[in-house]
Amino acid sequence: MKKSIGDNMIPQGWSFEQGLELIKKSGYDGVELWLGDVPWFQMNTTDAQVQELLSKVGSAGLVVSNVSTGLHWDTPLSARDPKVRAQAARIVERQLETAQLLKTDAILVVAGLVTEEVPYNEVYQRCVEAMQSLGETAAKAKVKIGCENCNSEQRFLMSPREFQTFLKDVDRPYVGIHLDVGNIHDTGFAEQWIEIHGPNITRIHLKDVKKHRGRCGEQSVYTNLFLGDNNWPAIHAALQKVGYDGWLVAEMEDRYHYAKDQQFYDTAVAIDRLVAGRL
Amino acid sequence: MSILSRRRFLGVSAAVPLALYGNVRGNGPDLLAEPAPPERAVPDCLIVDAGEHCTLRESLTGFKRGLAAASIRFESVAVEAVQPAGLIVVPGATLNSPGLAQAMHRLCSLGNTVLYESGAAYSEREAFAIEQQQLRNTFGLLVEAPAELWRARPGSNRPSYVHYRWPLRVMVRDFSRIIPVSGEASEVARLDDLRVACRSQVRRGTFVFLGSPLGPHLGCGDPDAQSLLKAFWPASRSLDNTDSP
Repeated sequence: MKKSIGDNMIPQGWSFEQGLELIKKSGYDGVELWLGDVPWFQMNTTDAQVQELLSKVGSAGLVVSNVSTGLHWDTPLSARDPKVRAQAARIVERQLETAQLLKTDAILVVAGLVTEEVPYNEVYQRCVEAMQSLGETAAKAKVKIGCENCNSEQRFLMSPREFQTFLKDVDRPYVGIHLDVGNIHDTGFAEQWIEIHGPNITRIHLKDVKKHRGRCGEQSVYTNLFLGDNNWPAIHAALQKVGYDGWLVAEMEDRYHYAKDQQFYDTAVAIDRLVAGRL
Repeated sequence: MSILSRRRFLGVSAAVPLALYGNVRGNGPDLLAEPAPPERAVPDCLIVDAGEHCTLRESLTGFKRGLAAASIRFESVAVEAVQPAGLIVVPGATLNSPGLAQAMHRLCSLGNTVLYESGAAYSEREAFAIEQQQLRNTFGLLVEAPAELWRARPGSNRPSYVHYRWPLRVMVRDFSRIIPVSGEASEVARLDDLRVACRSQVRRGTFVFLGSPLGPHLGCGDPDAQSLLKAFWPASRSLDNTDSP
């Protein structure tokens, strides 16, 4: 398994190049690029500029593990307004285009958002249809779409079996699950999600979580590896059982009050111990 | 030699194109009965794809799914190919050109029931203004600017329901935006104190205006929306241009 971490973790005020240097020095193999979440990688970043990003990643001795985005929280594929949905689809298309340019084969998408206003059944229907269509585009690009399980915040596809049904309904080989083991909270157990989804897992996000549902600003339930309530030996065993050999991508929140770069080093070491099973 | 009166002549002229399809609801003059044109069954229902004027495409899909689920035979046609039918549905459209409004008026005049679901709340402001004008000029309906239900009531944190009273008393969830409607027409549905759907007599036919989209709910299998659609179909046949509540 290979280690990666998001460029959205690069401390504020640092340049992309400084961040890449830190990522390399702290022991990662790759970097996850977040479209729309960092100044250097926006929707209006040109193809040439994207290629410059790739060049910088290569110069740092890294590769791009995948392309993610947080843009779908404000522009969901499940919106009622067709103009918003069109923009949401365009974001996914741009992720696919840039993934090709960045020579990676996976993107992360937050597929839908259940809200008080837009109810579950609508979200499900729209997401299935959107993923069926985008799944065709993904197949042509040979880039897999990983729909992330954002269980509590997305209020959608809350159980592993339901997520499996969703993927079956979508029925596109280039649409799978980007599994975040820190997003399951008290709604289940990460190791069971790994077992159920096995070969459909496109990438894995790593963080730990306190088993209390939801978040509340600074009282976030998310924390660094081994500080929360995930059963890491069970997660290690499940990864072995399903033969997962892909990217492990650290997706922490900024939890360090001082020496923020230390979080990169500590997390890299923790991932090494997870991979080795020294828990 | 019999002489046609002016009124009778106009009646024949108007019915001639439709006679090509046979069995026109409202029945034309006897003169058209002979010779009998080739039989072509009037479809139970027509779904009109308004093309670029269909603002809510998912509504179009939703109505098709709903009709299929209700086992109502339907054909999907472009505006130019609309013909008489038991029920004519125009889903998710915006009347930002006179052509569609005139086509619907003509069909109503000939005795058809047209169910027009406005998607104008999701179109540009200019397009909505044209729809507003078309509805007023063509059908005498006065529609207000779309209301944003969820932004208008921040903190209320509850869905609002459209209360249909015709052809069935049923509650269907809001679709975030509504177009309030008034004018000389019978109420079909209301959301709180706003009338959001109505029906009006247009010569021999009926025009039903839906200011809150129903199609998206049909598309995701909402059982109440489905019941409502199933009720529209027989209601449109029995209306025969009586406007009873």
